[in-house]
Amino acid sequence: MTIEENHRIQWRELRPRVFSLPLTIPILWRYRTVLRCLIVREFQIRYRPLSAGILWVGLQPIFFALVIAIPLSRISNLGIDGMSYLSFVLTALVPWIFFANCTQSSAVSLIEAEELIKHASFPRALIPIAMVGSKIVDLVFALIFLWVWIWFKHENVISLATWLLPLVLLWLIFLSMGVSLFASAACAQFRDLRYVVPFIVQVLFFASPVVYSTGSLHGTAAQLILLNPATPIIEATRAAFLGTPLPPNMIVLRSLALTLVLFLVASVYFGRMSRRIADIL
Amino acid sequence: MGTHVLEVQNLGKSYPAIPIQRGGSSIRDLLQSLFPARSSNRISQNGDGFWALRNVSFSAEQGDVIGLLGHNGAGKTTLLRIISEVTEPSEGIVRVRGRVGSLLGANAGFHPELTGRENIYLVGALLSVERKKIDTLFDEIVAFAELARFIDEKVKHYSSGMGIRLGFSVATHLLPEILILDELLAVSDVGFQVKALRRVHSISTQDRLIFFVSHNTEAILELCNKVLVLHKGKSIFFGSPSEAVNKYLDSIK
Repeated sequence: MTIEENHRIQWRELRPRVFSLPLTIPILWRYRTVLRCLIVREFQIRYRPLSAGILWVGLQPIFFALVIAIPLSRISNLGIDGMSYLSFVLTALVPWIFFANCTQSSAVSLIEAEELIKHASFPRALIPIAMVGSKIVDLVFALIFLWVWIWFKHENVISLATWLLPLVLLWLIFLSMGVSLFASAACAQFRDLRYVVPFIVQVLFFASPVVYSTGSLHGTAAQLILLNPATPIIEATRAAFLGTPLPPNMIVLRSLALTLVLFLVASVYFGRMSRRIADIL
Repeated sequence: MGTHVLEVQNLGKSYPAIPIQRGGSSIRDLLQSLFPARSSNRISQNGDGFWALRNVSFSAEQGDVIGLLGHNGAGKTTLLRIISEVTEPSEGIVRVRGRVGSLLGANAGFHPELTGRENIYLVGALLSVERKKIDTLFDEIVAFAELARFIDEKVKHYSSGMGIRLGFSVATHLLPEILILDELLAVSDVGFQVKALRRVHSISTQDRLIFFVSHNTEAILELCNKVLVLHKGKSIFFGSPSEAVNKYLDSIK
């Protein structure tokens, strides 16, 4: 029976719900066309007008890195040896930019889709998920550029970390999705937050080992940085390209746990808020 | 006549009076609700919010064209939002069969950043219509809406008339089982109004349930076989169009 026929025959009951079901894989599959529409839209924004769009995706981390690295490379004692500071920053910037872009575009995604949400019925989580989905493609391109760059500078080191990279990336996506769900829900509920998000992202930037290495910190600073679930992800990405040491297992496990908790909290919050979203937007 | 596709029983929808209002809250509102100033009106913080709908009951069948009359703020759009599953009821039950497609106001159900073309496919996807089918209907949809020149522009650049034309065209070509047309006539010019009404006529023979909201009582009398009249969130009449119009006109005196 096609979805169409099924719709025609099955009664649906709409009543006040005590709790709402989370977005599950089967539901995601059912709405895959909608998801595709939304993701493709994001691509076209990025890749159509400037045919250099694809280049920009790869160049953005390099630009960023140059802006940071040139002044900061004068500062010694940031904990780098055997590689240029530029590459050091670059490898961390690629996952970071993915995370930052996901968070910032998801934060306003529900607010911007107000018309759609108020007039059509669909799992609202599709909106921030589509944002994250489109950034994933950017991430792939950026990684390719990064690989070429590192290879070109003869700094690539293949180690255990390199083989673990796909898992690390999955973790990165999972973390970003949790944060995106939370940010989009919070901004839909409290509009002002959309102006606070860029600031928070900036703070997180310095709370992550992008321009410095975790090992170069001591005391409370180090402890705080290690609390950040993004820290091991960034260090592991760096390790995959440049052969720097992987973060210790305990830190990894703790951060994984934090990521999971964050995702669960975000999902529940999003689920509860999305029931009322057409009323509060 | 057809089979039942919609049952509404004791439907109610309330909006809380506490600061989670339309337009979203600000952090300031949140803080204010946590630490209310002494002079603030604490009465507004109890459970009794504003009832947009209360005790509404009716049922509908395939092939019905149901008119919805009521003053502004009577609850018409709220009712339709609940039937389209855009928002939830606060009490009561709605049983519905079939996909619901809504045209609620201008630029309705469209994502403003997408082009007209992309929105057609998006709405099609939301209504679980196969992409191939949308491909075959695409040219007709654009032609009926008279938007061939603008179809690749972002919907946010459309005038409200254009938005309505596109929305109506999409809805009446993709033909979900339940079709909602809210304030179709308000924003469109006479030429399109005539075209649209003719089209609604021709659809009504195709076993769809159509909701038609308008303040234009003539159109209601012409198109609908049943009319629901709402007044301040309550249903004051459900039945023949001519009686309904009278009840409506009385109620707004």
